[in-house]
Amino acid sequence: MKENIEALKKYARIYWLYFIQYWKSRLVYKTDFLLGATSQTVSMAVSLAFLTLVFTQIETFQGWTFDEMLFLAGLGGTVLFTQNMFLFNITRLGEDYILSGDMDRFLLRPLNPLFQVYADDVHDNNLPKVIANIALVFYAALQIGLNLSLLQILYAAASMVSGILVLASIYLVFSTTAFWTGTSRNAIWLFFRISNFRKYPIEIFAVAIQALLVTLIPIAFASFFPASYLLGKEGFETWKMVTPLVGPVFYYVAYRFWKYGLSKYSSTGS
Amino acid sequence: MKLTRYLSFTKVGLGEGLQYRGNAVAGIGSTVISLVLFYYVWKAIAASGELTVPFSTIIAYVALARVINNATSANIESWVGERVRKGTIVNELKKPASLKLQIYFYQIGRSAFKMMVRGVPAFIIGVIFLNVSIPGLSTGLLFIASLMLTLNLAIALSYMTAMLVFWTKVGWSLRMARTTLAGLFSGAMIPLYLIPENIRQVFYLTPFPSMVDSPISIYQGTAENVLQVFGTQIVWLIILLTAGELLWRKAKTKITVQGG
Repeated sequence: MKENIEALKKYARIYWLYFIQYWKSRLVYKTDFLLGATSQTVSMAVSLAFLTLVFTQIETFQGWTFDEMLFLAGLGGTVLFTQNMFLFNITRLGEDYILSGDMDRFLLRPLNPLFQVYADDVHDNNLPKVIANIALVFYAALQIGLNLSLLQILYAAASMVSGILVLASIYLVFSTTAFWTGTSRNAIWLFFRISNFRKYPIEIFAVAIQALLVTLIPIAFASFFPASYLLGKEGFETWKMVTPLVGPVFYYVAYRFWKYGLSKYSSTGS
Repeated sequence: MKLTRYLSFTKVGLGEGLQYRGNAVAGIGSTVISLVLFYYVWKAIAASGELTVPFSTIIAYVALARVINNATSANIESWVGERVRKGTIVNELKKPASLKLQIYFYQIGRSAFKMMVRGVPAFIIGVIFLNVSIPGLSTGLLFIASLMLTLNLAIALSYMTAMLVFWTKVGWSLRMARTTLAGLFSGAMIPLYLIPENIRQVFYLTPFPSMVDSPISIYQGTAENVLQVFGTQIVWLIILLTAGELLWRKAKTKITVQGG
């Protein structure tokens, strides 16, 4: 136990050093950061505009009001973009670490290779989206007049952590396939498209798609289930209850798969 | 201008596309995912209220919008961005060929590839699953003409924002902002006829509706005056080309090359 805590401390310290180093090099490219942040804000504004325009045509979206849809989008967005900020770098595994041979460098160091991949970059242009989505959650909650009990607040916090792990495990599994294919970009690119499903109540989809959203690409746990529970919507009761717990399970499975992939790794060497 | 000289740039663009065939497969996957999402979202919207247009017409519009978007994408921002960052833009300028025509012909090659591997599959999916009707010959030809104008508009717009890279040094974020804005204003996300009149008027002040809504209105026969649709597309093309040229003249005077 004591050993574990020591190890955790060590990794936290190293992450911090990486983080500082990252920001130092980042500030060299200020315009890149500013423009990246601006374009992310634009993309968020556009998806809100879409929702607003849709609601000029309808009163409720399958029983969900405009504010409830905002809450759903905000909650899912907060989880997704927080994960994207810190744990996104794994998606570069194929092209930027395996093919280039950089993975060898990581394997030589006495640090967990997965940690090194994560820590190698911070995708800070997600920051405006994280902030905007948190604001959206609070705005929507206020509009709805949401009154959460202490237990529900704990549920919300646990679900968000669990949601981040769920998303991280999806990224990890898809990226790990790069040990065989050498490429992870396309798979992740497809996930980007699929991640848009998080913004809608899953009842609207065919059952086969719903099944997909709780198993192979379980984003429903990172968005719909927690939002639906907090809003007091009917249905999917068991799913909502397990939501705060599934993240670690999914991530454990993904991590085993990563270990397996890593054992199959052979350097492109030159 | 020597056409054969420029066609070699088209070949390069086409070849680059062929090199990354995996991307093409992923492109089809991405099209299918987007269409599935749009299908269910619009089905739910149609079930939630009384829309002025039946669901089958809306979903055909959405599918056609995807076809057009897939067939006419341009990414000159990255092309210029990469070269400005590495400094190799100088090599491009040294070639005995004008920069904008090099870019244009290269992009035509890239787009031809995209049209085949991403536009055509989206169209087939639309016809089989999403109520897209096969048009008559004259409508079909008019649509293709309008689509070609859209392609030129997309290239002109991308060229224009790419010129800003000479100031910003980065291209991807400019492109992202351009494509997301285009998604909203062009009709790619929501059929423009479902938008309240006063807001729609604002949309029409931008070049974007000419890029998606216009060819669809020809395809679906909702355009009141086909000549007017073409006229608007051409006017926007002239405006964008002029703006791109003016920006290039400004950019030329301040080209700084990174590194060295």
